[in-house]
Amino acid sequence: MAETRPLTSDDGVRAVYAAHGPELYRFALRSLGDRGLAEEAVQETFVRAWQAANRFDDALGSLRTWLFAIVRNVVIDLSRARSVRPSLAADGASNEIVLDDEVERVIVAWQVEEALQKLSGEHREALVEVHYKSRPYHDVARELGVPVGTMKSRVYYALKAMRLALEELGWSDDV
Amino acid sequence: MTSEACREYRGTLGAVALGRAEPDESLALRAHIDGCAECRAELRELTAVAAALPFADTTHVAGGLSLPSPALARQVLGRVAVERSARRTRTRRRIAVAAATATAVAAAIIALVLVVPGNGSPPGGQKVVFTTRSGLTANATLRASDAGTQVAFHVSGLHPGGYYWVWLTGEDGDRIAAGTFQGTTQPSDLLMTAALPLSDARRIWVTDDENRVVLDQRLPAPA
Repeated sequence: MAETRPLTSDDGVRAVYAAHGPELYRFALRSLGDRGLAEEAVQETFVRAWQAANRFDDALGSLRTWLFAIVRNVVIDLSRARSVRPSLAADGASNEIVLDDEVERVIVAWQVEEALQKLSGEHREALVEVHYKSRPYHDVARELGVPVGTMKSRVYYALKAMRLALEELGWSDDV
Repeated sequence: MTSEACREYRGTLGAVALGRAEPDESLALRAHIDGCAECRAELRELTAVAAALPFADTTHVAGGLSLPSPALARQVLGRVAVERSARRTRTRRRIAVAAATATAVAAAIIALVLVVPGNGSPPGGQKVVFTTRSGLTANATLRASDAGTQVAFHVSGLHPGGYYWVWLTGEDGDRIAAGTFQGTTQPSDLLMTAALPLSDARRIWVTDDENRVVLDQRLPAPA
C-alpha cells in the first residue's frame, strides 16, 4: 500500500483500518480487557491519527509503528480516565512511570501472543509443549512420533519464526 | 557463511536459548561459537526471543485471534467524518471572526454602533417535522446557542442497534455533524449540538451507517 498521506481521504482511512485496525483492536483489548473500551480506543486512535496526518512521514518510520505509538497513548489515557488501577492513579508522577511500565509490559505480552498466533501449527506446538509446558524434548518427540533431533530442529525454527513475527509487530531487543 | 557444522548445532542453539540444553550439549555449543561469530549472533537473537516468551499468557493464544465487531470500521469512518466536519467549522469560524474583527474596526472609525437584539432563534425554538415513511416518526427543535445550534431530536422507528448521524447543512453547502446515536426499540429523545449558527442552517438530515439518507428536511432561510 502506498502510505504517503494515507489518512487524507475516506478511502485512505478505510484502507489503513483494513490493514491495521484488527491488530490495533487486539492490542487495545489485551491492554484494557474490555471489548467496548478497546473499540473506543481504536476509534480515538484513528481520530488522533487523522488529526496529525500531516505530521506522519513515512520516511521516518512505518505507518504501523506510528499508529501503535498513538494507540499506546490512547490506552494510557483511557486507563487513567476509568481508573482501572486506582492504586496507580492515587499518587502522581511515580505512578505514571509504573503505568508506563505496565503498558510496556502489556505491549510485549501482546506482541508475543500475536506472534505465536502467526506461527505454523507445528512451530507453535513445539514452543508450547517444550517451553510453556516445560516438557522434555524426548517426551514431546515420542508423543508426536518424530526423532528428538527433529523436535529440537522445530524449536529452533520456531524461535527464528517468532523473531521475524515479533519484529514485524514492532518488537525490538535493542534495550 | 553457514557451515555444515553450524547446521548441526541449530537444534542445540534453540535448546540453549530456552535454557533446556543438556550440560554436554551446552559445552559443545560454547566451543563452537567461540570460533563462529554467526552462531554467536544467532544465539544472542534467539535468547532475546526466549526472554520475551514468558510475557505471553497462552490462554490468550488458545482462543485464536480476536476480531473487532464488523461495525467498528464504519464507526471509525464516522468518527473521522465528524472530526473533519468540526475542523471545517473551526476554520470557517476563524475566517468569520477575522472578518468580524475587521468590520468592528471599521465601525469604530466612523463611531457607529449597531446593536442586534436577540440571537436569531424563534421563541421556543424552530420546529422541524420530518416527512417519513410509515412506522418512522421524527421531529426536531432547533435553538441557537453559543456553541452553534442545539438540536433536540425525537425519533422512533429507526433500526434498533443501527448507527445514525445527524447533520446540518450550512448555507455554503458544508455539512456539520450534530452527533451520532444508535437506534432503539423505544422512542428516543436526544440532545445534540452542531457547531453551526442556526441562522446559517439550511437543512437537517440523518444518515445511517451505510451513508444513506434516512431523514431529510430543508430549513427556511431567516427573513
